[in-house]
Amino acid sequence: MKVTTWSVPLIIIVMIVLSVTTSRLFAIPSLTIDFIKPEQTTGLSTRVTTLIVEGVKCVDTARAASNAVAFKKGVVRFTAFASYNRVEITYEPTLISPADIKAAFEGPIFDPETGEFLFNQFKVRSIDGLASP
Amino acid sequence: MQWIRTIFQLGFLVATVATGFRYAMGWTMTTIETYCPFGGLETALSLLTQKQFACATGERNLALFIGLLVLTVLTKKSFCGWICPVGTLSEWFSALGKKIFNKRRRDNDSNVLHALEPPRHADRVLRLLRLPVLVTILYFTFKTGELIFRGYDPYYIIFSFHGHDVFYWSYIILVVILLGIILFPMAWCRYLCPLGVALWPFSRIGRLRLVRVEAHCSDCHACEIACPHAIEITGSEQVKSGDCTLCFECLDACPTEHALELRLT
Repeated sequence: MKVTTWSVPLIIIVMIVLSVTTSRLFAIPSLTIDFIKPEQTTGLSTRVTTLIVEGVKCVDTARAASNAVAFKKGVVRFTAFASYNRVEITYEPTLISPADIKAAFEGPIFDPETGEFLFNQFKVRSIDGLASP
Repeated sequence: MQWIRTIFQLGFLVATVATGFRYAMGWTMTTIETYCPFGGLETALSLLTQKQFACATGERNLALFIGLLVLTVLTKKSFCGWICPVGTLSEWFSALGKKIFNKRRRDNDSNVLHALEPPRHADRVLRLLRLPVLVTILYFTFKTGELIFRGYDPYYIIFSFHGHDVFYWSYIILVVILLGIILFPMAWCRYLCPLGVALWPFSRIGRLRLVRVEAHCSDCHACEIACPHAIEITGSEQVKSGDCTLCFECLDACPTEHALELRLT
């Protein structure tokens, strides 16, 4: 069947729109770390805060960012979606607040591998959809 | 049709430059890698076996790669001829090479060759080089979980604006590649591009194809001379080659009306 050459640019546009739209429908974490074993969280009234963190751009940087909250009391789980610079922190609100978590990311971070503190590695751009001051 | 294709190519080129520049200036967190469909292929194996993405790749890369496979099955390698910014630069540098080395010559089989273009039989063998390139990249990316070939990738070297993993030798590699394209038309796409060879089998079965209508064809070979990918057209009824990008250069070069037609096969 003969078709017009215009069909090629039209199909290209449709496929780009479909691909970009579809990519928003699913999200697979680049890194998930449970600081408290899931079975130990029963009875805890945990909450989840979502942060856009500048500097979290791959699995390695996500792992480095996890060190910021690894030793914080009340942090249950760290989940990073590196391609969206997004970090989700599951926390116990009676022990830690989103403001504390933000401060942890922007403060000095202890790197257990080197035994050194890292400074100015990450900057929180937003917390739960609100631009971070 | 060439003007609309040029608009597409320029549009994607400008968008890529803008994304790379904005990231380099710290105005955005979106990198040029976010829109690279090859990243989807690189990360697919990690996702299947380790249930996590490799390095900086993510959902968008995967979705773009899957979309690209569907696009290729429909419209052959139109991505290379209409979207890919490296393909666009390749075309421009090849055109420059053809202007510099203006004289054409013929190989033993009477095929018209541009510049220092290798004879067709050597060209066919050289195209196989893309396969070890693809296998090497996929193997080491999977093994290390890192995009360790950034420093060798012309897309990343050009559009990341000196992104991390780009070193002085990366620019030497880039210059060699660009010179190669000037001397041997479309050398990167034909002989080295790993995405090109990954798409090849899907392009081979591409449903939209150029069909040669023998009754109208005058066997002047103008289509083959115009084809940037040196695909043999006059010897067959359909352009089945997995390297056809549906750029329609052949269609525009054809002096006879209706000798070449786009058909859904």
